[in-house]
Order: sequence, then structure tokens, then C-alpha cells
Amino acid sequence: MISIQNLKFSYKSYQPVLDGFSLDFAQSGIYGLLGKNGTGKSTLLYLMMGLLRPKEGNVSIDGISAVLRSPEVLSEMFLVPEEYDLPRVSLRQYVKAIKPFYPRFSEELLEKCLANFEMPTDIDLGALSMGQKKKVYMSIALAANTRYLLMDEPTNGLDILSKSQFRKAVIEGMSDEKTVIISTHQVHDVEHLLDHVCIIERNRVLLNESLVEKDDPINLEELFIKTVKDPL
Amino acid sequence: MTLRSSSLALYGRGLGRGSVNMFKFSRFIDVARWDLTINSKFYLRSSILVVALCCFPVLMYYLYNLLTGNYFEAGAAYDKIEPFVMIISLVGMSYAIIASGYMFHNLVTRQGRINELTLPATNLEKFVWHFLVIAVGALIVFNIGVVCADLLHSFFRIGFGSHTRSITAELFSAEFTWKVYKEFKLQGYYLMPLFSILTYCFVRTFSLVNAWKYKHNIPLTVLLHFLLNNGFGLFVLVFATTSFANSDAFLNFIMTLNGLNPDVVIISLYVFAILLYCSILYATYWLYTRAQLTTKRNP
Repeated sequence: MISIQNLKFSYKSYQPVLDGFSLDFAQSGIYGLLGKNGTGKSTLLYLMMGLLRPKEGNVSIDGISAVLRSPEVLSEMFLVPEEYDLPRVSLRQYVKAIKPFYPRFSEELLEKCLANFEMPTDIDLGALSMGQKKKVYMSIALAANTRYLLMDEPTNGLDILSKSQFRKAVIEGMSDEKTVIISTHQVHDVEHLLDHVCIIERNRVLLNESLVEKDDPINLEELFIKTVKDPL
Repeated sequence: MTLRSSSLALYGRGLGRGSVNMFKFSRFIDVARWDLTINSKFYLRSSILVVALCCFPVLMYYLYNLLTGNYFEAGAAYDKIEPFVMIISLVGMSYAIIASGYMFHNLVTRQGRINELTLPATNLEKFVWHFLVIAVGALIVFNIGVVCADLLHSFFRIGFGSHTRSITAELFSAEFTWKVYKEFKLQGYYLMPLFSILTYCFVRTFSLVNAWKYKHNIPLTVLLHFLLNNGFGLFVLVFATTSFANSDAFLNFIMTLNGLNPDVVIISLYVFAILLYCSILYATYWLYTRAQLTTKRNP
């Protein structure tokens, strides 16, 4: 369980990004983390990973504070940031280097995810385009088989076919124990994937709802606009 | 090999364990393998550069004299290896400083910070690895450079059919080292180790600033040293003009210092230097444990 309690964080002291913010990710499943620009979605993901230190409050992962960056916690978490670069080594070498840190890393799942993205396994990471890097990194993230997978704008930079491949890869990489948190503006890309939706603002959660029990397919864009314009 | 810390028992509570391994040797090896994999080209290129810089003065000396037809000068190099030793020593010192300033080179880029800080290993394991890279790895690379320069020098000497002196031996031999040791002696104590520890303190300050600011840290450290040195000099000058500095009480205090047992003074200096070195290392580690993806200092 990821628990966020009374969180305050700011990049500049006079302008807090998050202030008194609390939210729990108690159940497993795929969460959509939505919010207007600058509401702190990416910041929240970094705080969960222990990459940023809150000014006040606490983020805990299974009862352990995220700022400690304990290896036991980090081996159960994987972050796919919005922009990233991969080292100039072969995929085989890279996997060999990171595999020992993730006890349930599955090379079989990696091959399956790469196949979903129509990517070969024998590749040099330094020679890939941005979109290809994203596909490979997401495949590695899914193959790491961590209990918590955090993705920041995962569909940015992907073409239409790749977006469909991404959905397929996430579904195939899911299991009952996993919690995937997807922070995005591209609601159409992920709306059929989500089990829960969280719409956040600087200091509060505007909506935290399960989509599993809904009979009718939900229009996430409409829900988002309605929630943001007319918060409860 | 594991170190367990009860003070860090909090780490393991949620996982149903009593404590966490602060240092697990197998994980440390994994950190080393990971770093060597993702930075293989960086380490290889920098090592080649250092070896090339060590060989450069030897190569230039012989090439210059041979190309200008000054065979006598080239042949007389037996007695002229000291300039090589001095230049190579300078390369070694510069390399130690730059390597120290690049201790946390993974933190320079945003992606590097994400990779480094989210790697499932303890801060101690990562820190020890980075320290070994700059303290031991850099020393090995430099020694390889010295041996290569020496081999190159010997190769040219064989070309002239004359005997030779070894640059490596000159740099590291007892003759060279003890000569210096013997010169810096006070009250029967050798002071060279003290200077060595203080030099290490100086070199490690570059790592300390690197843990505080990930980019442009080397010029910043040089600037800080400049300001500290000049600031201290200025303070002494201003202090000497104050009435307190000329008061009987202060002069008596200075006289008391002069009357101290030299053994106590020298041992205290050694203790101070060792404590200073440990403090710099600890402060570097503390800053590293608090590294973040983005701060005002490191946008």
C-alpha cells in the first residue's frame, strides 16, 4: 500500500506544488492519476519513489518511508519517467546489469512485451529513437515484475499503433498483486485500461473512484472536465 | 559480509523484518557491475585519456628531438627524467582532483539521478562503490599510465642502445619517497604522512562539493578554496591589528602554545588531519543520502 499523508512539497518556497495532500493507493490495479497542468502529478510520482523529499508529511510504501530509499522498497518499485535516456549498451548487457536488483525479473515477460511492441531483443540501446527507447524501457519496467509500477505520461511520443501496443503490453504484464499508477493528460489512451481514477489538485483529491463496478463505459474526458470545473 | 544496524530497524518493519542490511556484499557487487555496465564507455575513455597524458611528455620529448635532428639531446635523456616525473606527477594530481570531483558523475543528468537514486541498493553500498572508483580505480589507472610512459621511455632508450632509469622507480622508489620523508622532519617525527593526509583532505573536498552541487562543481570547489585561503589570510591580517591580538592575555596564550610539548603538538596535528579527512568523507556521504532529483542548487 502506498500512503501519502499531509504532504507538503514545493520547488520554490513561496509556491507549494502540493500542500496538505493525502491519498492512499490501498488496492492493487491500474490507477489513472489525472489533474490540470502543474497540479503535481509527476512530483507525486517522484515523491513516491523517494526522488524528492517532502517539506512536511510523509509518503510510505508498505509502512516504510519513501525518503529512506530502502533497497527492499525500491526493488518493489519501478518508475518510467516522461523523458529519459538509455545507456549506450546492448539490451542484453543492460538487462544483465539490472536483473539482480529485481527478484522477480522475467526475461520471458520482457521478450513478450518487446514482441508486443514489435521490437527485436538483440538491440543497442544507444541507437534507438525516442519512441523506441520508450517501448524498450516500458518493456523492462513491466518485466521487472515489481509490485508498484509508476508511469509518467507513458503514451507521449508514441504513435497510434504503439499506443495500442502499450495497452496490450500493460494488460499482459498485469497481475493481481501489482499496482500501476499512470499519470497522464492523454486520457483517451488509457481510459479502457484503468481500474481506478484519481483526479487531484494542489491540496486535495477531487475524485478517487473505482471504475471496476461501473456498468457503462466511462468517458474519462467528460468526467475530468466535470470534476475539475465543478469539484465536490 | 553484512553489517546490521539496529538504528535502521525502521526500514524493515513493514516487511516483517527486524532490521535491514546496510551493507550486503552481493548487492555491492551488483552495484559495481551495474555502474561498470552503464558507464563502461565513460570509464574506458577517461582511462585512455589519463594513460595518454602520462605518455605525452615522453613521446613529445623524443619526437621533438628526433624530428629536429637533435640526436645528442635525445640520447642524453638518461639524466633528464625528472621533468617527466614532475609532469606525470602533475597529471596524477590533476587526475585525482578531477576524479574526486566526478565521484557522483551519475547525478549530473536528470536521467542519471533517476537511475542512481532508484537503484535498489543502500546509499552506503553505492557510496562505497563510488569512493572505490575514485580512490582505488583512479590510482590503478594512473599507475598503468606511469608504467606505459616508462615502457615508452625504455623503448626509445633501447633505440639509442643505452641504459636507462625507470620513471616508475623514480616516482615510487624508496629513494624518491624517503628522500622527501627525510627532508620533512620535526622533532624526530616524519611530517610527510601528515602532508599526505592533508592533501587527501584537499582532494576529497572536490567530492564533497560534488555531492552538494552536481554540475560545475570543480570550478566551484577551486573558487571556494581560493575564497577560504584569502578569507583566512585577510582575517589574520585584520585580527593582528585588533587590540585583542595585542593584549597580554592573547600573547600569554601564544606563549603557552609555544611551550607545549612537541610530541603533543605533532600527535594532535595528526589526529586533527585524520578527523578532518573522516569529517569530509562523512559530510559527503550525508549529502549523498539526501540527494534529490531536483533542488534549487541542482535544477
